[in-house]
Amino acid sequence: MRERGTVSRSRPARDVGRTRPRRGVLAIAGAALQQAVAYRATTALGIALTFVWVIIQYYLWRSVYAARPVVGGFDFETMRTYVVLAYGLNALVGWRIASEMMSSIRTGAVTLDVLRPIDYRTAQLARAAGWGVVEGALSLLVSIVVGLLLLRISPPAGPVELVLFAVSVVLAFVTKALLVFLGSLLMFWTTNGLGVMWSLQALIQVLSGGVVPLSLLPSAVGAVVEVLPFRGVVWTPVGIYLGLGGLGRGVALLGLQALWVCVLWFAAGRAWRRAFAAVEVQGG
Amino acid sequence: MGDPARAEQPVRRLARIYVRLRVLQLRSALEYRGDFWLSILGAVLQQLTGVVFAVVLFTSVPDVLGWGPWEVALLFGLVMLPAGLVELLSDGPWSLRTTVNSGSFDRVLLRPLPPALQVAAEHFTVHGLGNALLGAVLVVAGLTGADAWRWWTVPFLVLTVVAGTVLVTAVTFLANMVVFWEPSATSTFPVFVVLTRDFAKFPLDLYPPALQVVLSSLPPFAFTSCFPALLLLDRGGSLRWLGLATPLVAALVALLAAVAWRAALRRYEGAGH
Repeated sequence: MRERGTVSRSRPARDVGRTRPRRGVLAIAGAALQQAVAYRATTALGIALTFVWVIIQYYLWRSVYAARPVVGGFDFETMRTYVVLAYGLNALVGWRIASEMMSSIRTGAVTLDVLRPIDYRTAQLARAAGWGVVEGALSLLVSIVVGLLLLRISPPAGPVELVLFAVSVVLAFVTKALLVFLGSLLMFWTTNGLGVMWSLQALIQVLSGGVVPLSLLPSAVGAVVEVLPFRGVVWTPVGIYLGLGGLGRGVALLGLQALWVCVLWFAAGRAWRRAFAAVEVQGG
Repeated sequence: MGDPARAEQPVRRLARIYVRLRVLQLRSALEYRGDFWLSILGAVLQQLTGVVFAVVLFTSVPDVLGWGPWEVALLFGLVMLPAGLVELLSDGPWSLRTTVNSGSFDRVLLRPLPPALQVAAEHFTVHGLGNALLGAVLVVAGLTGADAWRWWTVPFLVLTVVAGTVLVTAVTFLANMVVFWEPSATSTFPVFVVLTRDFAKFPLDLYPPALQVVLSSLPPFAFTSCFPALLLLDRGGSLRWLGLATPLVAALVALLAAVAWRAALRRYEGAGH
């Protein structure tokens, strides 16, 4: 007994067998991060899942470019780079935040979340960040490394562009997380999570430039989509990486992206209060 | 399972029960009118992302390896139509992971109906309706746009779509049966297997030979769209005659699924309660 006491006293700083709880937002992000690491197979397969489309698009564009050097202002190397980066950026925020929010709203567990002394919106973003660090960063990293080695994508346009790209990726993450948050609030009015989620996925995919570069869209549609918040998810960061339109334009686009993040942040807060008024817990 | 009395149940009776189960579930789905339409909207939008990609592609280039927009529309339709029908008719295997892991699969084994029938009829996935309709529209639009209607087109299409539906059902069963051997498996593996059908939305000669072999065998999704489309569009040299093999391939995969299903049932040991 005495001996054990002295041993533990001699090493007071080390908590044995128990991790010290962190506070608030960090704790939530940490827990999500641990989940993502614990379910390694799910995380890895989730990354592989959407890679199917990268392969399809790669071969498709390859045969398209075999017949012509330029399509819509993009050469094959730029297009390859685009496809790979768009995939990586899309994986930055998975759909777990949506499915968790939806099921908690459906079961009524959301009322418990609201009782916690932390802003619901912030908590969801923190959770997304925890998963994002593992899933998103990993898939972005994998796609860039695989892209550079196997698919020979182009490196960033320059060192300044690389820094701007990094900032833009963070903003892209917040943009998509907020969009998913806003969409998931629809669950307060319907019980059909899958329908909402699929519609939302499709909308974000197309309008963000995740399916095709926005410059290939018909000009009337393109002009509208160019100013919407969705472009911040894929089109803006990839454009900066590729150095489309030069540095000045890159900085301006970063400004637009940041502006939309602010707007979405406040919109998310308001919409959340609005939505929660409609809460209807099923059963007891 | 191997019970001879059950094997002798008249097919007609089973068919009647199956239809009644379907109608029951359609009615319960229709109870939530808003959800019903939202499901269809979600599924159609989801599929439209692929269509948007193809449309934008073909506004920039006239053709890919000699395949124009209408020919590719036919491929999209031939993938989506059977996929939608499978979702409508036998989407149950997707819940195997939950029922096997929780042990509620016990219930399936106790009822006096073939387990496969019960599993197939377990769900009614409304969004299959959206997929099937969109697929049918694309098939008709593709054939019309490519001016490829001939006297045998309709019977051949019916045969192909029915065989394709059987094939996709068998693959869905096979992929989801993994849970009997690997209980911790998440549904990501079956999703991945089934998603490889997206490859078949584009002409096969786009891909390198190794990938072409995979797509015609593991799982052979090329037989639902690529090969029949060659025959329908009168192209692709002698490879087109593989389009006639779709029913045979579907039968083989279904046989494989049946054998695996028996092994899976023998292997099932409940959840220990």
